[in-house]
Amino acid sequence: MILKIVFTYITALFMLSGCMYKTELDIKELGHKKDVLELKSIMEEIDVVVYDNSKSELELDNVRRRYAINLAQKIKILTTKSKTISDDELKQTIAPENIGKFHKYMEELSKNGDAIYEVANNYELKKLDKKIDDMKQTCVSCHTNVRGY
Amino acid sequence: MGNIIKTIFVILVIPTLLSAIDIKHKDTTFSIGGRIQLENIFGWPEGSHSAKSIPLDSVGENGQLSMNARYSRIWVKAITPTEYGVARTLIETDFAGVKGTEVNTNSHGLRLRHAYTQVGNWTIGQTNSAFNAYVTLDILFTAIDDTFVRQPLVRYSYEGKNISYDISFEQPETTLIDSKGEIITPQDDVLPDIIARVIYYPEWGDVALSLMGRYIVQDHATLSDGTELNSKDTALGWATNFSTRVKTFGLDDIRLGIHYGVGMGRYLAYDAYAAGSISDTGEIKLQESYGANIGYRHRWNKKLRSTISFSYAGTDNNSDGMINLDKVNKNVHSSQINLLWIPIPHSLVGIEYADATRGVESGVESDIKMVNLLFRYDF
Repeated sequence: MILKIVFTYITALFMLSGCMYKTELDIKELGHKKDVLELKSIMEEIDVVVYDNSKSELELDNVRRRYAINLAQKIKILTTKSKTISDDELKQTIAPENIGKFHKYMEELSKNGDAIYEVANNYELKKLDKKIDDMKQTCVSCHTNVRGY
Repeated sequence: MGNIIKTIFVILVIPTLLSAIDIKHKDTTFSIGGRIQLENIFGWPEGSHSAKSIPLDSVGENGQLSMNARYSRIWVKAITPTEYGVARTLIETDFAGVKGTEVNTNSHGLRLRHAYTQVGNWTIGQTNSAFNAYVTLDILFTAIDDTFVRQPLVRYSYEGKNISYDISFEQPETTLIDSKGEIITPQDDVLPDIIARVIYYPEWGDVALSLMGRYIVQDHATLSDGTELNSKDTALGWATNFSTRVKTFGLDDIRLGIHYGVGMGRYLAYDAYAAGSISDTGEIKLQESYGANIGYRHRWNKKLRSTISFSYAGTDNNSDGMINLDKVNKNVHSSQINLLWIPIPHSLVGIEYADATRGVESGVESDIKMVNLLFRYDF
């Protein structure tokens, strides 16, 4: 009887720890999805700045610059977060042979973010579209080649 | 066939080339850009969507179609690194100056919009007032309570991470309504309008608040009937302007603007209301003005969006003893709805319906309904 209770208890603990482990992963996945949505949202905001009819060209550049710097900061947070995920954790969502590629893409994304910050900080906003396209390309490549979606 | 190809090239390719061209001379980079805009406006009755020009005496008129490209514009920007930070300069004109006749050539005159430079924390020249609403509705006709002024100014700005501050000294221009119901500009101003503004950029949207102080003066002014006054009077006016955008679902947002002041005058609704009244002996009495607008913007997808909005503006005229009350604007409101489409980047095709009502001190009210079909390309 006691053995039965202990067995049930231990089984429950295992199940619970499993659930918690999955939940942590789920949270990280949800966190990534949230980050991606935030990046997309900022990029879409940048696209429609030109239609604000009440601002001068320099004011529009100020708005674009602010969004771009915000975008660069979000990328920095996302790439920094990725470095805190252990390979064991990554293996839960990424095939082991793709982990190296994942780190390479994150490094690339970090450089994309730095480039966006650089052009925004220097008001070289004509170069911004190209830098954002570079960043999008890195994201698409990572999702296609590493995550598989 | 050759001509057709050339025409297509001129229409489609030249703007694209211009948008890609930066001219660099020494440390300065010049950029040339602009906008081609065609408005096709049908109004029932003929008139404009403005707080002071909705017609009061148009019973029976069925309306008018009016097309214009006068808000097309061209600008030159320059960027130069300096020891005080990046110096940025803008000169911009459009063709909304002297209006041409629609009979033959529609030759509209050039008009200065912006001519200013920003070096470090300083802005010097002519541009948008710091009192203007920072957040505006995403509509084709402006909000009927629009707080929009462009004028010479000197401004000091501080940019923080999520917040910015401005203190601005701007061109003064007193406007007063006399006992004949006419707005006069004494042109006796001696001190700039002073405006302080703070803009906050949280994750959930934008918030801006402006506060303005004005010194209203008449010094031996001339009234609308030609009477030259033998007196001087002054008054201190003030006004505040709040605007915000709050993100809601997806890429949608709700926008709100509220403004109130005593002596706000020309800063509200394109000079529909005076800062105050001037008596036949030259005494100034400031008046309250107020307005608000609200709009919900829905993004159907990346290329399609709509806004539904309502705006209102009004004033409390000192109308005791005043005549010609049909000329004295009292209040106005407008409802608008639109559908805006981005067929290619930097272009806009939009259609908007507006229904506005203007009231004057005599109690007369008049209504206008308008449709605007707009084509725009920014290059």
